[in-house]
Amino acid sequence: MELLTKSVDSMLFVKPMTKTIDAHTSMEFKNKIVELIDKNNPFIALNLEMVEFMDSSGLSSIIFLYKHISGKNGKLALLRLKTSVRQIFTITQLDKIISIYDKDEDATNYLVTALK
Amino acid sequence: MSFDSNIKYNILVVNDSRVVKELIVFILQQHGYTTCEANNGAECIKRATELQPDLILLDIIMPEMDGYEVCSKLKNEESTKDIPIIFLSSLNSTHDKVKGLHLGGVDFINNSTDKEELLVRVETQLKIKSLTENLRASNKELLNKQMLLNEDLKAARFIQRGLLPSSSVNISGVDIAWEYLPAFQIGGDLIDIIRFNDEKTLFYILDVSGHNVPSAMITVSISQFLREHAVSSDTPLSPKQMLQVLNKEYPFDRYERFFTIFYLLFDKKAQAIFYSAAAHPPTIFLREGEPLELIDIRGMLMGINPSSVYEQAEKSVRPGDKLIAYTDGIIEFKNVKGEQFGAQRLYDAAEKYRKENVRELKDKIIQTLRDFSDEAPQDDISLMCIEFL
Repeated sequence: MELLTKSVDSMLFVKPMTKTIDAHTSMEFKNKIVELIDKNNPFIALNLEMVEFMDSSGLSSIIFLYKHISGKNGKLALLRLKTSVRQIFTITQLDKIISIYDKDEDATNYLVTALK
Repeated sequence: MSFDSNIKYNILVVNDSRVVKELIVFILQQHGYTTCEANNGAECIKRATELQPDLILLDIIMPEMDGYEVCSKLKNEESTKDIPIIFLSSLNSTHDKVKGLHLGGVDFINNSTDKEELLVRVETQLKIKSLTENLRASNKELLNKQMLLNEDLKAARFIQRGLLPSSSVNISGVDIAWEYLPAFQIGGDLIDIIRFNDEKTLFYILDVSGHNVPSAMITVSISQFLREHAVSSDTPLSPKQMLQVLNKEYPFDRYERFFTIFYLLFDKKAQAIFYSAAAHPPTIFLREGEPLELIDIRGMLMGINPSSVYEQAEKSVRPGDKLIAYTDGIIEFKNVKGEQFGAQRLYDAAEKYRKENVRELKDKIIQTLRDFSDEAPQDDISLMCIEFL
């Protein structure tokens, strides 16, 4: 799974180039991002605009990343979710604990505020 | 392990010409090979069977049985079929070579070939043989391991099946039918019915993230936890209290898994149901003369936030009221075109068969799913139908 990354100040924008995050891909997805976080990048904006399908394993990996980042006093923002994926976060109420944004600048503001 | 120069490979040299045979034997021995010899076809077959050489260098033109016939016989015999055969002959036409290779020979060397080439070709075939043998051994080992794993999975499936309510479960005041179709041998869904006393019964359906062995093991743990805790006091915990207990007991960090649940307490005396849910798909409620109703209690996924508070609702029930609880494996069930069964098809089926008894209702919903696609389920599928009597 390819990840496009862009570093902006102390934040890292990560875009996984995959259409699905499910039982087959979630492990790789999770491990690759954990690797990035552990390289001193605890402020991550995860751009999921390519992702069309996410199952419970995919959701697990996002929760894991959220917890991993929180453990490092960092912040995770999800960015540009497709409607079908957004719905999962609404139904499971994960949107109450994980911040989701449609616009890059809103995610940036959220992370910047946390960075201060 | 690949070709190993420390191993003494044994090569059977077959030739009716003593001079040619001795020359080859000399060359091979000089280069560290062990050799054995045969003067004709019959002797070759006998020696190959007895000695199981690593390679045969086989002459073609021999009296009585020629090399082609010898090759066919060796290839048809279980004990000798895997010994590589290099034809070594004065014949040189493409036709002869092709014939030899068709019969199962691995190479064809002309008598006039120089010594170095002969040795390289022999070595190549021995390498291939050694690699093939290793591959076969690893494959066999893998198959054995796979078989053991399958046995374990079957046993696990048996244990997990044992957690499900008995098909003949008899609870006064309700009629129940359920179906559980794991995507693999075992899965992460669970249905259970716990009789608290003559009046109160607990029902729940849950879906642990993932549908593999770890998910299944968590269902085992939750099942035992609930069977123990649900009946440990004089009055049952309310559904929302029970969800709070479970939410704390199974934090995501413990197993990196979360679950969704629909939990219901039926009070026969009060003719009422009390229910709570955590991120579970809405439950269908059917009452005669009224449109299909969705019982939709949201709530945070279990195990994510230890301070989550869960909502609870209640409803009085009348005889004939039915309830259909399920896991998302049904709505996300895909046909070969990748189209999802979807919630609407489920609601339509529930609507269509609402007058049937719960067994028929359950069977017909499953049949509707099967009619939609005969693909194997991609996720665990669970369905529980309850009728209040």
